[in-house]
Amino acid sequence: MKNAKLKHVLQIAVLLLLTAVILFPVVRIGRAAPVSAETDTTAPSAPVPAPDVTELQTAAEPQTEDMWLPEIEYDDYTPSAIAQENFHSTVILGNSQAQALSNYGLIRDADFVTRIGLSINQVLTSKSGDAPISQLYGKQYKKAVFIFGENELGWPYPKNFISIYKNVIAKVRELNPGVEIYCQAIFPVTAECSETSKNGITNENVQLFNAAVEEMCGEIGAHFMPVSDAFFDRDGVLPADAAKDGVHFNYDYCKIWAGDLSAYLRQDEQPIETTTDEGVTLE
Amino acid sequence: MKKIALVLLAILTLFVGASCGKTETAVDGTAAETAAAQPQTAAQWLDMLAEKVPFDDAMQSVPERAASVYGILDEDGYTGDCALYISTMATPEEIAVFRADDALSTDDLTQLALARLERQKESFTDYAPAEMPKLESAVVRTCGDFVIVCVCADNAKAQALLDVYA
Repeated sequence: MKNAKLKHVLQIAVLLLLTAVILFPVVRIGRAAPVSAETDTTAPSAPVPAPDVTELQTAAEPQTEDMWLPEIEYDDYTPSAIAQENFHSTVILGNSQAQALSNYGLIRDADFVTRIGLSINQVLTSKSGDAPISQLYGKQYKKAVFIFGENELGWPYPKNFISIYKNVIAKVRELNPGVEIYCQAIFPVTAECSETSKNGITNENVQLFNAAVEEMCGEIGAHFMPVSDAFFDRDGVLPADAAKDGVHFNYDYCKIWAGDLSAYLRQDEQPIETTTDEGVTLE
Repeated sequence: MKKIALVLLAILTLFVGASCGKTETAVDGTAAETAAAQPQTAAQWLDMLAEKVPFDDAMQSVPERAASVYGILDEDGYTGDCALYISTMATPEEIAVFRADDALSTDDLTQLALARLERQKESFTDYAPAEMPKLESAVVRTCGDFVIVCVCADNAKAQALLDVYA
Protein backbone atom coordinates (compact mmCIF):
# COMPACT_ATOMS: atom_id res chain seq x y z
CA MET A 1 0.00 0.00 0.00
CA LYS A 2 2.80 2.35 0.98
CA ASN A 3 4.57 1.48 -2.25
CA ALA A 4 1.48 2.30 -4.25
CA LYS A 5 1.22 5.72 -2.55
CA LEU A 6 4.87 6.41 -3.12
CA LYS A 7 4.50 5.48 -6.79
CA HIS A 8 1.53 7.83 -7.08
CA VAL A 9 3.44 10.74 -5.52
CA LEU A 10 6.38 10.10 -7.82
CA GLN A 11 4.08 10.12 -10.86
CA ILE A 12 2.68 13.51 -9.82
CA ALA A 13 6.20 14.86 -9.20
CA VAL A 14 7.33 13.75 -12.67
CA LEU A 15 4.20 15.31 -14.17
CA LEU A 16 4.94 18.61 -12.38
CA LEU A 17 8.54 18.56 -13.50
CA LEU A 18 7.55 18.02 -17.13
CA THR A 19 4.99 20.84 -16.92
CA ALA A 20 7.60 23.18 -15.47
CA VAL A 21 10.06 22.32 -18.24
CA ILE A 22 7.41 23.02 -20.90
CA LEU A 23 6.23 26.28 -19.31
CA PHE A 24 9.64 27.75 -18.48
CA PRO A 25 10.50 28.92 -22.06
CA VAL A 26 6.99 30.38 -22.46
CA VAL A 27 7.48 32.54 -19.39
CA ARG A 28 10.97 33.52 -20.57
CA ILE A 29 9.67 34.71 -23.95
CA GLY A 30 6.85 36.58 -22.30
CA ARG A 31 9.34 38.51 -20.21
CA ALA A 32 12.07 38.96 -22.80
CA ALA A 33 9.99 40.68 -25.48
CA PRO A 34 9.08 43.82 -23.52
CA VAL A 35 12.69 44.21 -22.37
CA SER A 36 13.83 44.28 -25.99
CA ALA A 37 11.14 46.79 -26.87
CA GLU A 38 12.16 49.02 -23.97
CA THR A 39 15.74 49.00 -25.14
CA ASP A 40 14.61 50.34 -28.49
CA THR A 41 12.44 53.08 -27.02
CA THR A 42 15.27 54.42 -24.89
CA ALA A 43 17.02 55.52 -28.09
CA PRO A 44 14.56 58.01 -29.62
CA SER A 45 17.20 59.42 -31.95
CA ALA A 46 17.64 55.97 -33.46
CA PRO A 47 14.18 54.47 -33.77
CA VAL A 48 14.56 50.86 -34.76
CA PRO A 49 12.41 49.91 -37.72
CA ALA A 50 10.68 46.81 -36.47
CA PRO A 51 7.41 45.90 -38.12
CA ASP A 52 8.71 42.36 -37.98
CA VAL A 53 11.38 41.13 -35.61
CA THR A 54 12.83 38.75 -38.17
CA GLU A 55 13.12 41.50 -40.76
CA LEU A 56 14.69 43.82 -38.25
CA GLN A 57 17.34 41.31 -37.36
CA THR A 58 18.30 40.85 -41.00
CA ALA A 59 18.17 44.54 -41.87
CA ALA A 60 20.06 45.97 -38.91
CA GLU A 61 23.65 45.21 -38.09
CA PRO A 62 24.76 44.45 -34.53
CA GLN A 63 24.84 47.56 -32.33
CA THR A 64 28.55 47.20 -31.66
CA GLU A 65 29.36 47.82 -35.33
CA ASP A 66 27.67 51.22 -35.14
CA MET A 67 29.68 52.46 -32.19
CA TRP A 68 32.39 54.15 -34.28
CA LEU A 69 30.02 56.23 -36.39
CA PRO A 70 30.19 60.01 -35.83
CA GLU A 71 27.53 61.73 -33.80
CA ILE A 72 25.38 64.40 -35.35
CA GLU A 73 26.17 67.73 -33.73
CA TYR A 74 23.23 70.03 -34.27
CA ASP A 75 24.58 72.54 -31.73
CA ASP A 76 27.42 73.43 -34.09
CA TYR A 77 25.02 74.86 -36.63
CA THR A 78 25.43 78.56 -35.85
CA PRO A 79 25.91 80.49 -39.11
CA SER A 80 24.23 83.52 -37.54
CA ALA A 81 27.49 84.18 -35.68
CA ILE A 82 29.12 85.18 -38.99
CA ALA A 83 28.37 88.78 -39.94
CA GLN A 84 26.33 88.37 -43.12
CA GLU A 85 26.06 92.06 -43.97
CA ASN A 86 29.65 92.03 -45.24
CA PHE A 87 28.56 89.74 -48.06
CA HIS A 88 25.89 92.05 -49.46
CA SER A 89 26.25 92.54 -53.21
CA THR A 90 28.98 89.89 -53.33
CA VAL A 91 29.53 87.04 -55.74
CA ILE A 92 31.80 84.15 -54.82
CA LEU A 93 33.32 82.19 -57.68
CA GLY A 94 35.20 79.01 -56.95
CA ASN A 95 35.81 75.32 -56.55
CA SER A 96 34.55 72.65 -54.17
CA GLN A 97 35.98 74.45 -51.14
CA ALA A 98 33.81 77.43 -52.00
CA GLN A 99 30.91 75.09 -52.69
CA ALA A 100 31.14 73.84 -49.10
CA LEU A 101 30.67 77.39 -47.79
CA SER A 102 27.47 77.54 -49.77
CA ASN A 103 26.22 74.07 -48.88
CA TYR A 104 26.81 74.57 -45.17
CA GLY A 105 24.83 77.80 -45.31
CA LEU A 106 27.64 79.70 -43.63
CA ILE A 107 27.42 82.59 -46.12
CA ARG A 108 23.83 83.39 -46.97
CA ASP A 109 23.96 86.89 -48.37
CA ALA A 110 26.31 86.24 -51.29
CA ASP A 111 25.64 84.63 -54.66
CA PHE A 112 27.72 81.56 -55.45
CA VAL A 113 29.12 80.58 -58.83
CA THR A 114 30.77 77.39 -57.69
CA ARG A 115 31.06 73.80 -58.75
CA ILE A 116 32.87 70.73 -57.51
CA GLY A 117 36.08 70.40 -59.50
CA LEU A 118 35.79 73.84 -61.10
CA SER A 119 39.14 75.13 -62.39
CA ILE A 120 39.89 78.69 -63.45
CA ASN A 121 40.02 77.63 -67.12
CA GLN A 122 36.43 76.39 -66.94
CA VAL A 123 34.83 79.65 -65.80
CA LEU A 124 34.50 81.29 -69.20
CA THR A 125 33.84 78.12 -71.16
CA SER A 126 31.81 74.99 -70.69
CA LYS A 127 31.86 71.45 -72.04
CA SER A 128 28.08 71.31 -71.82
CA GLY A 129 25.45 73.86 -71.01
CA ASP A 130 26.13 77.45 -70.03
CA ALA A 131 29.56 78.54 -68.85
CA PRO A 132 29.69 79.46 -65.15
CA ILE A 133 30.34 83.12 -66.03
CA SER A 134 26.86 83.31 -67.54
CA GLN A 135 25.43 83.35 -64.01
CA LEU A 136 26.78 86.90 -63.70
CA TYR A 137 24.90 88.20 -66.72
CA GLY A 138 22.37 90.86 -65.88
CA LYS A 139 23.59 91.28 -62.32
CA GLN A 140 25.74 93.91 -60.70
CA TYR A 141 28.02 93.16 -57.77
CA LYS A 142 30.23 95.40 -55.67
CA LYS A 143 32.56 92.59 -54.62
CA ALA A 144 33.76 89.45 -56.36
CA VAL A 145 35.61 86.81 -54.36
CA PHE A 146 37.72 84.26 -56.25
CA ILE A 147 38.51 80.91 -54.65
CA PHE A 148 40.69 78.98 -57.07
CA GLY A 149 44.01 77.21 -57.07
CA GLU A 150 43.64 73.81 -55.37
CA ASN A 151 42.56 72.15 -58.61
CA GLU A 152 45.31 73.87 -60.58
CA LEU A 153 48.27 72.96 -58.34
CA GLY A 154 49.11 70.13 -60.70
CA TRP A 155 49.54 72.47 -63.66
CA PRO A 156 53.15 72.59 -64.80
CA TYR A 157 53.65 76.32 -64.39
CA PRO A 158 51.93 78.97 -62.25
CA LYS A 159 52.16 81.44 -65.15
CA ASN A 160 49.49 79.53 -67.11
CA PHE A 161 47.20 79.68 -64.09
CA ILE A 162 47.86 83.41 -63.63
CA SER A 163 47.32 84.19 -67.30
CA ILE A 164 43.85 82.60 -67.31
CA TYR A 165 43.08 84.02 -63.85
CA LYS A 166 43.69 87.55 -65.20
CA ASN A 167 41.36 86.93 -68.14
CA VAL A 168 38.57 85.76 -65.88
CA ILE A 169 38.97 88.76 -63.58
CA ALA A 170 38.97 91.08 -66.60
CA LYS A 171 35.69 89.53 -67.77
CA VAL A 172 34.11 89.93 -64.32
CA ARG A 173 35.22 93.56 -64.26
CA GLU A 174 33.78 94.09 -67.74
CA LEU A 175 30.42 92.73 -66.57
CA ASN A 176 30.58 94.61 -63.25
CA PRO A 177 32.26 97.98 -63.67
CA GLY A 178 33.79 99.17 -60.41
CA VAL A 179 33.64 95.77 -58.73
CA GLU A 180 36.27 95.10 -56.04
CA ILE A 181 38.19 91.89 -56.69
CA TYR A 182 39.27 89.62 -53.81
CA CYS A 183 41.52 86.61 -54.45
CA GLN A 184 41.67 84.03 -51.70
CA ALA A 185 45.15 82.64 -51.14
CA ILE A 186 45.35 78.91 -51.75
CA PHE A 187 45.08 77.00 -48.48
CA PRO A 188 47.78 74.67 -47.24
CA VAL A 189 47.05 70.94 -47.24
CA THR A 190 47.81 68.45 -44.49
CA ALA A 191 51.29 66.97 -44.23
CA GLU A 192 49.98 63.53 -45.21
CA CYS A 193 48.20 64.90 -48.28
CA SER A 194 51.27 66.86 -49.33
CA GLU A 195 53.58 63.88 -48.92
CA THR A 196 51.37 61.37 -50.72
CA SER A 197 49.86 63.53 -53.47
CA LYS A 198 50.31 62.28 -57.01
CA ASN A 199 48.74 65.27 -58.74
CA GLY A 200 50.74 68.22 -57.47
CA ILE A 201 48.70 69.03 -54.37
CA THR A 202 51.72 69.77 -52.20
CA ASN A 203 52.51 72.56 -49.79
CA GLU A 204 55.52 73.51 -51.90
CA ASN A 205 53.21 74.14 -54.86
CA VAL A 206 50.78 76.03 -52.62
CA GLN A 207 53.57 78.46 -51.73
CA LEU A 208 54.71 78.74 -55.34
CA PHE A 209 51.24 79.45 -56.70
CA ASN A 210 50.36 81.81 -53.84
CA ALA A 211 53.41 83.93 -54.55
CA ALA A 212 52.24 84.24 -58.14
CA VAL A 213 48.65 85.09 -57.12
CA GLU A 214 49.86 87.77 -54.68
CA GLU A 215 52.03 89.29 -57.37
CA MET A 216 49.11 89.27 -59.80
CA CYS A 217 46.89 91.02 -57.26
CA GLY A 218 49.49 93.76 -56.91
CA GLU A 219 49.61 94.19 -60.69
CA ILE A 220 45.90 94.37 -61.38
CA GLY A 221 44.72 96.14 -58.22
CA ALA A 222 42.98 93.21 -56.57
CA HIS A 223 42.90 92.27 -52.88
CA PHE A 224 44.99 89.26 -51.92
CA MET A 225 43.37 87.54 -48.96
CA PRO A 226 45.97 85.63 -46.96
CA VAL A 227 45.21 82.45 -45.04
CA SER A 228 44.66 83.00 -41.31
CA ASP A 229 46.74 81.33 -38.60
CA ALA A 230 44.01 78.82 -37.78
CA PHE A 231 44.85 76.94 -40.97
CA PHE A 232 48.48 76.33 -40.03
CA ASP A 233 49.76 73.96 -37.39
CA ARG A 234 53.16 74.34 -35.72
CA ASP A 235 54.80 72.83 -38.81
CA GLY A 236 53.19 75.39 -41.10
CA VAL A 237 50.77 72.97 -42.77
CA LEU A 238 47.03 72.37 -42.51
CA PRO A 239 46.16 70.72 -39.15
CA ALA A 240 45.31 67.05 -39.61
CA ASP A 241 41.90 67.48 -37.99
CA ALA A 242 40.84 70.19 -40.43
CA ALA A 243 40.15 67.97 -43.43
CA LYS A 244 39.61 64.24 -43.64
CA ASP A 245 41.09 64.11 -47.15
CA GLY A 246 43.70 66.75 -46.34
CA VAL A 247 42.09 69.38 -48.60
CA HIS A 248 38.35 69.83 -48.01
CA PHE A 249 37.64 71.50 -44.68
CA ASN A 250 35.15 70.09 -42.26
CA TYR A 251 32.33 72.22 -40.97
CA ASP A 252 34.26 73.71 -38.05
CA TYR A 253 37.10 74.96 -40.25
CA CYS A 254 34.65 76.25 -42.86
CA LYS A 255 33.05 78.25 -40.07
CA ILE A 256 36.42 79.81 -39.20
CA TRP A 257 37.04 80.54 -42.87
CA ALA A 258 33.63 82.16 -43.37
CA GLY A 259 34.34 84.36 -40.36
CA ASP A 260 37.73 85.30 -41.82
CA LEU A 261 36.15 86.20 -45.17
CA SER A 262 33.49 88.31 -43.50
CA ALA A 263 36.06 90.16 -41.41
CA TYR A 264 38.32 90.70 -44.41
CA LEU A 265 35.54 92.07 -46.60
CA ARG A 266 34.50 94.45 -43.83
CA GLN A 267 37.95 95.82 -43.10
CA ASP A 268 38.93 95.98 -46.73
CA GLU A 269 35.96 97.89 -48.06
CA GLN A 270 38.18 100.92 -48.59
CA PRO A 271 39.63 101.34 -52.10
CA ILE A 272 43.03 99.77 -52.61
CA GLU A 273 46.07 102.01 -52.20
CA THR A 274 48.67 101.66 -54.91
CA THR A 275 52.05 103.31 -54.72
CA THR A 276 53.22 105.39 -57.69
CA ASP A 277 56.12 107.75 -58.28
CA GLU A 278 53.84 110.62 -57.34
CA GLY A 279 52.86 109.03 -54.02
CA VAL A 280 49.91 107.01 -52.84
CA THR A 281 46.81 107.03 -55.02
CA LEU A 282 43.43 105.46 -54.51
CA GLU A 283 41.95 103.27 -57.20
CA MET B 1 -3.81 12.12 -1.99
CA LYS B 2 -6.54 13.30 -4.36
CA LYS B 3 -6.69 16.58 -2.45
CA ILE B 4 -3.00 17.13 -2.89
CA ALA B 5 -3.29 16.38 -6.59
CA LEU B 6 -6.18 18.84 -6.93
CA VAL B 7 -4.24 21.55 -5.13
CA LEU B 8 -1.26 20.97 -7.39
CA LEU B 9 -3.51 21.04 -10.43
CA ALA B 10 -5.00 24.34 -9.28
CA ILE B 11 -1.49 25.80 -8.82
CA LEU B 12 -0.56 24.58 -12.29
CA THR B 13 -3.68 26.16 -13.79
CA LEU B 14 -2.81 29.50 -12.18
CA PHE B 15 0.77 29.16 -13.39
CA VAL B 16 -0.35 28.52 -16.98
CA GLY B 17 -2.85 31.38 -16.82
CA ALA B 18 -0.19 33.77 -15.53
CA SER B 19 2.20 32.70 -18.27
CA CYS B 20 -0.38 33.35 -20.97
CA GLY B 21 -1.03 36.77 -19.48
CA LYS B 22 2.63 37.66 -19.71
CA THR B 23 2.74 36.58 -23.34
CA GLU B 24 -0.20 38.80 -24.24
CA THR B 25 1.47 41.76 -22.56
CA ALA B 26 4.61 41.12 -24.53
CA VAL B 27 2.76 41.04 -27.83
CA ASP B 28 0.92 44.25 -27.00
CA GLY B 29 4.18 45.93 -25.99
CA THR B 30 5.93 44.94 -29.20
CA ALA B 31 3.03 46.19 -31.32
CA ALA B 32 3.05 49.54 -29.55
CA GLU B 33 6.78 49.78 -29.97
CA THR B 34 6.51 48.98 -33.68
CA ALA B 35 4.06 51.82 -34.13
CA ALA B 36 6.40 54.18 -32.27
CA ALA B 37 9.44 53.05 -34.29
CA GLN B 38 8.22 54.47 -37.60
CA PRO B 39 10.06 57.79 -38.04
CA GLN B 40 7.59 60.65 -38.00
CA THR B 41 9.78 63.58 -39.06
CA ALA B 42 12.52 64.25 -41.60
CA ALA B 43 15.05 64.56 -38.77
CA GLN B 44 14.04 61.16 -37.38
CA TRP B 45 14.44 59.50 -40.79
CA LEU B 46 17.84 61.15 -41.16
CA ASP B 47 18.97 60.11 -37.68
CA MET B 48 17.83 56.54 -38.26
CA LEU B 49 20.00 56.27 -41.37
CA ALA B 50 22.92 58.43 -40.23
CA GLU B 51 23.47 56.34 -37.15
CA LYS B 52 23.43 53.03 -39.01
CA VAL B 53 25.15 53.56 -42.36
CA PRO B 54 28.89 54.26 -42.80
CA PHE B 55 30.45 57.37 -44.33
CA ASP B 56 33.99 57.97 -45.57
CA ASP B 57 33.69 61.74 -45.25
CA ALA B 58 33.15 64.10 -42.32
CA MET B 59 29.42 64.79 -42.27
CA GLN B 60 27.38 67.70 -41.02
CA SER B 61 23.69 68.20 -40.49
CA VAL B 62 22.39 71.38 -42.15
CA PRO B 63 18.59 71.05 -42.24
CA GLU B 64 18.02 74.63 -43.39
CA ARG B 65 20.02 74.01 -46.56
CA ALA B 66 18.13 70.95 -47.80
CA ALA B 67 15.73 72.72 -50.14
CA SER B 68 18.34 75.01 -51.65
CA VAL B 69 20.93 72.28 -52.24
CA TYR B 70 18.27 70.20 -54.00
CA GLY B 71 17.31 73.05 -56.31
CA ILE B 72 13.97 73.88 -54.72
CA LEU B 73 13.27 77.52 -55.44
CA ASP B 74 11.41 80.03 -53.29
CA GLU B 75 8.77 80.31 -56.00
CA ASP B 76 8.07 76.58 -55.70
CA GLY B 77 6.34 77.40 -52.42
CA TYR B 78 7.64 74.29 -50.72
CA THR B 79 7.37 74.44 -46.93
CA GLY B 80 7.61 70.74 -46.12
CA ASP B 81 9.62 69.16 -43.35
CA CYS B 82 13.14 68.41 -44.62
CA ALA B 83 16.63 67.49 -43.44
CA LEU B 84 20.11 67.31 -44.94
CA TYR B 85 23.32 65.58 -43.85
CA ILE B 86 26.14 66.64 -46.14
CA SER B 87 29.83 65.97 -46.79
CA THR B 88 32.85 68.28 -47.09
CA MET B 89 32.55 67.99 -50.91
CA ALA B 90 35.48 65.61 -51.02
CA THR B 91 32.86 62.92 -51.61
CA PRO B 92 29.24 62.96 -52.86
CA GLU B 93 28.01 61.41 -49.61
CA GLU B 94 24.79 62.81 -48.22
CA ILE B 95 21.39 62.01 -46.79
CA ALA B 96 18.42 64.16 -47.70
CA VAL B 97 14.84 63.74 -46.52
CA PHE B 98 11.85 65.68 -47.81
CA ARG B 99 8.22 65.43 -46.82
CA ALA B 100 5.73 66.11 -49.58
CA ASP B 101 3.39 69.06 -49.09
CA ASP B 102 0.73 70.85 -51.11
CA ALA B 103 3.39 72.47 -53.31
CA LEU B 104 5.57 69.45 -54.12
CA SER B 105 4.37 65.83 -54.24
CA THR B 106 6.55 62.79 -53.64
CA ASP B 107 6.84 62.45 -57.44
CA ASP B 108 8.05 66.05 -57.74
CA LEU B 109 10.54 65.56 -54.93
CA THR B 110 11.77 62.30 -56.47
CA GLN B 111 12.43 64.11 -59.77
CA LEU B 112 14.37 66.83 -57.93
CA ALA B 113 16.39 64.15 -56.15
CA LEU B 114 17.25 62.39 -59.41
CA ALA B 115 18.24 65.73 -60.97
CA ARG B 116 20.51 66.45 -58.00
CA LEU B 117 22.19 63.06 -58.40
CA GLU B 118 22.74 63.72 -62.12
CA ARG B 119 24.43 67.05 -61.31
CA GLN B 120 26.62 65.31 -58.77
CA LYS B 121 27.59 62.67 -61.32
CA GLU B 122 28.60 65.38 -63.80
CA SER B 123 30.81 66.97 -61.15
CA PHE B 124 32.42 63.86 -59.74
CA THR B 125 32.97 61.94 -62.96
CA ASP B 126 36.13 63.94 -63.70
CA TYR B 127 36.91 65.30 -60.25
CA ALA B 128 36.81 62.08 -58.22
CA PRO B 129 35.99 59.08 -60.43
CA ALA B 130 36.59 56.69 -57.54
CA GLU B 131 33.50 58.15 -55.87
CA MET B 132 31.21 57.42 -58.82
CA PRO B 133 30.05 53.96 -57.62
CA LYS B 134 28.43 55.66 -54.62
CA LEU B 135 26.40 57.85 -56.96
CA GLU B 136 25.60 55.00 -59.34
CA SER B 137 24.10 52.99 -56.48
CA ALA B 138 22.50 55.93 -54.67
CA VAL B 139 19.26 55.15 -52.87
CA VAL B 140 16.12 57.19 -53.61
CA ARG B 141 13.06 55.83 -51.79
CA THR B 142 9.56 56.97 -51.02
CA CYS B 143 8.34 55.98 -47.56
CA GLY B 144 4.81 57.26 -47.02
CA ASP B 145 4.92 60.96 -47.82
CA PHE B 146 8.70 61.18 -47.34
CA VAL B 147 11.28 61.03 -50.13
CA ILE B 148 14.64 59.85 -48.85
CA VAL B 149 17.99 60.07 -50.65
CA CYS B 150 21.09 58.31 -49.35
CA VAL B 151 24.59 58.31 -50.84
CA CYS B 152 27.02 56.64 -48.44
CA ALA B 153 29.83 54.13 -48.25
CA ASP B 154 27.35 51.23 -48.11
CA ASN B 155 24.24 52.06 -50.10
CA ALA B 156 23.06 48.43 -49.93
CA LYS B 157 22.81 48.76 -46.17
CA ALA B 158 20.81 51.97 -46.51
CA GLN B 159 18.53 50.18 -48.98
CA ALA B 160 17.99 47.30 -46.56
CA LEU B 161 17.15 49.67 -43.72
CA LEU B 162 14.56 51.47 -45.85
CA ASP B 163 13.15 48.23 -47.26
CA VAL B 164 11.69 47.57 -43.82
CA TYR B 165 9.27 50.43 -44.43
CA ALA B 166 8.41 49.62 -48.05
